[in-house]
Amino acid sequence: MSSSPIAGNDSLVAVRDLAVRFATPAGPVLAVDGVSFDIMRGETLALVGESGSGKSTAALALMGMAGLSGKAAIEGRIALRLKKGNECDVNRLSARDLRQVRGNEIAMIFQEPMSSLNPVYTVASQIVEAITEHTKTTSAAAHARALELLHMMGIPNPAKCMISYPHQLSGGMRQRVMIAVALSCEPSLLVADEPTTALDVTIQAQIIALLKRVQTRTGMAILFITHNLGLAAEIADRAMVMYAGRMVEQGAVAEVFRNPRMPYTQVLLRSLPRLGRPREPGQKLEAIPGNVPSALKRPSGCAFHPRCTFMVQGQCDEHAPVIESCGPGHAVACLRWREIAAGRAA
Amino acid sequence: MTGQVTVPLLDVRSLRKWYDIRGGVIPHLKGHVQAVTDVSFEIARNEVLGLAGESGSGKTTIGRCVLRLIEPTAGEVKFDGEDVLGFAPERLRRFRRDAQIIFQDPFSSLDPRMTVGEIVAEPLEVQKLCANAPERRDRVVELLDTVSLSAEYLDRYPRALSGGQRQRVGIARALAVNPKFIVADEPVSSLDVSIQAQVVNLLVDLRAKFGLAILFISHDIAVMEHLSDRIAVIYLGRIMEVGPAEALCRDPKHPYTEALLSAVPDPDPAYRRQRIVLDGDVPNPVNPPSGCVFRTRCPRAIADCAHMVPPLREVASGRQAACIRL
Amino acid sequence: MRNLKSIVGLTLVAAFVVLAAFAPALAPYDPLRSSVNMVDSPSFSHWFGTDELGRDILSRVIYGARTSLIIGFGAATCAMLIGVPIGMMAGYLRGGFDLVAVPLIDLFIALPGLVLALIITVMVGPSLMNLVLVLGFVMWPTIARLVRGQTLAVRETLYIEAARAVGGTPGWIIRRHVWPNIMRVVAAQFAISVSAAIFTSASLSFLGLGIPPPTPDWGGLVRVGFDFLSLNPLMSLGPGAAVTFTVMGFYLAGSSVE
Repeated sequence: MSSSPIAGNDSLVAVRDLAVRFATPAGPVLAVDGVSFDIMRGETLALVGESGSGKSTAALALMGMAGLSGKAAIEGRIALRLKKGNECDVNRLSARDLRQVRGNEIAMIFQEPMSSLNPVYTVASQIVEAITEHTKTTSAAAHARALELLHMMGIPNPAKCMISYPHQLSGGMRQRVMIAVALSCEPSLLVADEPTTALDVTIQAQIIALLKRVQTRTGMAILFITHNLGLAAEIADRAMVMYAGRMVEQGAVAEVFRNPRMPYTQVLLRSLPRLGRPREPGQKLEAIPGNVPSALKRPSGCAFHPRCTFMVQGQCDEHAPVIESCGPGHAVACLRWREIAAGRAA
Repeated sequence: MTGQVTVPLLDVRSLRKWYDIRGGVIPHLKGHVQAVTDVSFEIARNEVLGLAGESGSGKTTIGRCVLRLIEPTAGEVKFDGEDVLGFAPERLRRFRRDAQIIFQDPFSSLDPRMTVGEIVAEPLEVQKLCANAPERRDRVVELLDTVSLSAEYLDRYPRALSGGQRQRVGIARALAVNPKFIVADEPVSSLDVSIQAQVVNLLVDLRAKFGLAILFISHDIAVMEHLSDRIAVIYLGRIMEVGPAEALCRDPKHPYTEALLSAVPDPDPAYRRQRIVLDGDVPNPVNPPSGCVFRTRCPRAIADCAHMVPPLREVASGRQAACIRL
Repeated sequence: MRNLKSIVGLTLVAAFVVLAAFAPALAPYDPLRSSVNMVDSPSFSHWFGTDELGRDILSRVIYGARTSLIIGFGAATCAMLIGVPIGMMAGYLRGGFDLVAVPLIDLFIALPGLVLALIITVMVGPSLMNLVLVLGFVMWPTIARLVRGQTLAVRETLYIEAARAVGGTPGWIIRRHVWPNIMRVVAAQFAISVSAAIFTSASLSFLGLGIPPPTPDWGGLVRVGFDFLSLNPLMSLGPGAAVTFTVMGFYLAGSSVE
């Protein structure tokens, strides 16, 4: 605990035992419950989960933003390696230092760009503002940089886009502008919270291609938050699956999606219809019974146990599984993963 | 009499929905939003036709038009051989016993002030399908059971239900009148991934059990391939391609279908398709491109594409596409 | 904050209703019985003093609550009876009805309510019944406009489309879906209308166009007491405070809902 979790390795971010608790009128909610993970320099980590899994809250905590919308108690350690080489704990930064970290070191893009772009300012002024706020740049230089960024975003007519207001742009264009704003100060980490969920698949493909291109060019790391397993597999190097506020599986994409160890990941993958696979007429998908648990009433033990076919009474409903290594770089939180993997579990 | 066997349940011919745009100091007609233009398709009894398209493609408008929840600008909609667009109000009300709809958003499609029981009972009351209240109640319980909800949900309000449960209530409401045909407008898109399969399976079951014909509207082609017999791909209000679901997904003919399919991400890293990334955005439906509406983004477009609207024609056995380059 | 508003509002409303309902038990004297002690200052026997005819002012203020209650609720009910159907039909049916209703509503809203009420009262003559009808007539456009706006919002929801898809007629949909979903807002507006009616009627009475004597009525009491302000300020301030607290109570109760 005393030594830094990122000293001596290549991690950009090391999150240890992150817990986020909200006080709501309906009672306390443990949105994120003891999550640990690393993000390496230049890699893409996908944070996969359904609604209420805590994936967005975990990402906001990383930005020091989880407590902005209400009373949140954040525990744990979020070590971030800064560009200058030294490191800091995001969870213990002053508001002033946090503002420097946001934008400069970590930038974020959201599902709905409209909500984070100011409708009364032109695209140009929003990018220029983002640049001049964090760096000592003349307005003319910032303007030139804004134009260059929009060009890099693959916007057909950057000059015209500069003088547009957000509402004059299509969803895909707005998302490109938001990425341009996020990249304006060359952050070492981009947090992308469902950036393509509101977009059509052909536009989604454009944005994904763009993010990959930008990553190759700048070497930034991406934390990609999504509910779409296909998308996670497509864009990420590693994936982390969350369920009911906890991390349930983590590993290289090829491992997690080809050899999932956690029953939740397994059945979730099997429940997806896959394009272009032969099927029998009337054949059904494998459905997961039950509902996604409410954050107010989390099941005891392993949170997935009420929906799990491998559940053993007296075990899974009583003991929360610890995170175990189940392969190189592959971790799982399941009491029975060994039996299940060996095909011995019924 | 022999011809009657081949009459499709739903026969849509040259359906068009253009919205007027009025403006100016003295309001006058300035143009049209061309939401749907000359769309024709058929649905047979107990057939599922998938209508695939992106936002703004007009797929939702088509679903509303065939049910006459919005009035088409032009075209023909025949249900069981009868002209739906010519129905007088009373006949239209009776038509609603045969044709129903399931909505995308299970949150806003259920009246927050009504209990689950009242919501499912509404079609029975409106259509006077039950003689008295106890009979109606029994029927509602039966309907809830059909969608795997127990009778304990009768007195709950929608806000106390999860997304998947709400969607089941919406499906029970649609089934209440014993319809022959259902428009399913993105019924699983707003559900959690682990819940989608439940609802997809329910639709598969219901179709078999009640012999339903379904117009399945979605942007998710993987779900659509699983559920549909045939798929029609729509772009900017026009049909680009129609064909049997599996054949169309395995071997798309139209360049747009090809790009659309290639853009669907797959969770298996070993199963990666050759991706075709289309340039640009969907054009504005107020001022669509001349000729083929897809030509501005089409990787295979030639000069001739701008000159004529390509007709939907047979390009292989059972396969139709609207492209002059095939 | 909203909670405090509704608590204060509802307490004041409850106090007012209790005052009106149990006036005979609560008032120490008959409000109409005069005595020889004219324009007495407040004392233990007459807390607010007596008026120019020797009547107990406290008793008259308490009985005045009844008049205000009738006017407030009566006028608000009238306004609702006209405004709610017009607003709902304009909002749900749109078309020609809406095209006629909206300019009409706007026209009435543009006219100052008090002046309009004043003119009509002069024409029809002051009486309790007329006052209720006049105030109801002055207030319906506000309600119609609110109801129309609410109906328009509800009309666009998917559950209305679902009701249409199962064959619901406009009448059915308005009754079963639109009304239950706008009821809360209408109820809140009802309370605000009661407060407005009491306020306007007090203003009319103060201008001499209120309830004819000898019925005790707050506006009239304030007006009479005005002449004796130097002799007994409570003669005017007492009923004035009653108006203020009641109007405030209904207003707070109504505005705390939204």
